[in-house]
Amino acid sequence: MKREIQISRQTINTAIFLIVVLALIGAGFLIVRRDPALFSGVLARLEGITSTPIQIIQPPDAQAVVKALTAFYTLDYTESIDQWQAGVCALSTPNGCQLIQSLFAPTVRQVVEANQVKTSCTVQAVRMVEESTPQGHDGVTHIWQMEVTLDNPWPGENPTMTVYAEVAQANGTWLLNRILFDQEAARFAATPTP
Amino acid sequence: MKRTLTLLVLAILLALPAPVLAQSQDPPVDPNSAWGEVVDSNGNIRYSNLTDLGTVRQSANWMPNIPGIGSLPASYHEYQTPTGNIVVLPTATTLFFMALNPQGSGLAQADSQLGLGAGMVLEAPGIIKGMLQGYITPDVIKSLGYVSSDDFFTDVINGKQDIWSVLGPNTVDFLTDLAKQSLSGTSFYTMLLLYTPGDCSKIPSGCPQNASLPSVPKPPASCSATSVKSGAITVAAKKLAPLNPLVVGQDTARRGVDITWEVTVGPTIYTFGISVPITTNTCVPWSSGAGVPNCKTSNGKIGVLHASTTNVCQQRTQIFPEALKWTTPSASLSQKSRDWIFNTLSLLYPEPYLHHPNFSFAGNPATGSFQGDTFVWDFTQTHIQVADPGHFDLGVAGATTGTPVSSWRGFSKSGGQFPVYLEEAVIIQ
Repeated sequence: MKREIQISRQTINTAIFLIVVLALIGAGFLIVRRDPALFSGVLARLEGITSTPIQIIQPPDAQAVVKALTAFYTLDYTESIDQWQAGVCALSTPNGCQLIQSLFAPTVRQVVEANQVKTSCTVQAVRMVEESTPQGHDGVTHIWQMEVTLDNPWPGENPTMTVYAEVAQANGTWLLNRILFDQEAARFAATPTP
Repeated sequence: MKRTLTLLVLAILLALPAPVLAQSQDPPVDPNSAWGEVVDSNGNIRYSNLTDLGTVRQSANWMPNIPGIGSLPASYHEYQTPTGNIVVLPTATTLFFMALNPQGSGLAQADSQLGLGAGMVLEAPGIIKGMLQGYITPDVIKSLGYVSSDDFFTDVINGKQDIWSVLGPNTVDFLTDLAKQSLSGTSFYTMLLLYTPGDCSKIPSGCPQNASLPSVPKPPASCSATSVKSGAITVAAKKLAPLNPLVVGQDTARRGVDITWEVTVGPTIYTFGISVPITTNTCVPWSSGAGVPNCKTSNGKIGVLHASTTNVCQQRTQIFPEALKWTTPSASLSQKSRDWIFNTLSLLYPEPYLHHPNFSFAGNPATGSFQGDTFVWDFTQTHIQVADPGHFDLGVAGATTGTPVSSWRGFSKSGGQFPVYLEEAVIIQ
């Protein structure tokens, strides 16, 4: 007596799929055993792709503030104040450089030497708080609220602080005009963040 | 009209980075006044007549603060006149911030002020007005609802108007011009402040160490051992507000803490002896040729009065009031609180560190005054942003001016404490 066994097409397809998957796993296992570096290399490439930071494109004025404040708060007592001054002035307007030289540099020098400060910093733009046009000048000025974190703060100094800085556009380039004194910045600190 | 003209001259002078020069004195300085030995009839400073006491740079809480770095130093050049008066020349930058804070900076305590090129006394609003000409237009002041610009600048001094908001984008030009005028080598001064020797301690930077103050008449030579009892120095400090201060991270409104300090210096008491002649009459037995008898001796015989004078040493006291030369109020996290942060709080917040455990402020003794013979000095600092929880010890370090019978005294005293709280969320199961 002849008996007919019926196998559905779906069952056949499932069986073929399982055989292929098992074959691939087996082949992969054999390859890894033969050359472990190959696996770790592939893993590293995958990790590299996933850990790439998301680049936030900042407006050019914010980038200018970040660069200038990074130069301003990168302090090293083993370097001359002239070197520090030149670095900040390169990112400042002529008026801004004048203020750095005559008002800010003597005070920075005193603090850096007294505390033997050696620190770099991380600067992040928070928001633009004011846009205005000074009388007798072309172009606009922007005031940015920034967050500065010192990598190696000196005793008694907070590692993270809020700094307000003004940039102006000169010949299409944004440059630092000045860092606002705490007394001036009080008017922004009092404004609630939207 | 004259005032407007004067301010205009002042503004023009401000725009020129030139050496010190007083011009167009209108009216000319009275040669018989205290300024006569400082400025000649042509308005030039008589440097040859003055002793140069040098430049003083000191931190001051009324100077502007660079975020994370600290305050700009106040800078003055000081001279002494032949009669002992001290003349203080603040740099343009310092003068501007002095005028914004006339009480705290000691500007208001000067015995006399002379605006170069002005030849007149200018009050703080007038100084600011003169310095800001060209940077703040009358239209801007009108748009703020002021009919008179004098009212606006008075409100700036009183803290009712924020000068920085009004200056806006012109601030950089204004500060740059101030900075150019303040550069050493091309120092340009717009205001002279004069302090008499008696008010030497009111000078913003304190009485100059190298000033030769006219000697105060000393008490007469003593005929007995003298003693000098210095007056007691007391320090008291307390929190004014808020009731329960929070650490800055939990103080969402950034209210901070208001603290007040008070220092008193009692008078120095000098005890000495003066020789006082005392005349005594003694009845001595009469003898022929000794005059007319006029008394009886102790044993009943006739005698004549004989006057003899002897010197007796009598004790006297003299009181010398004493002021303060410099003061630095401070607040410091107590050792007990530091131990608590590292040994107890660390269980909840691993790897703790102290954010800002020590605060110190530049005090200005010139704001103190004598109440009777006792010098009283108050200082209040508002909105101090405290980041570490615990109890802060309050104190003041400083030095007194000294008296004619005692030298200056340094001191560092504590006087009070205030708490700063850390709110903790407790989850109840």
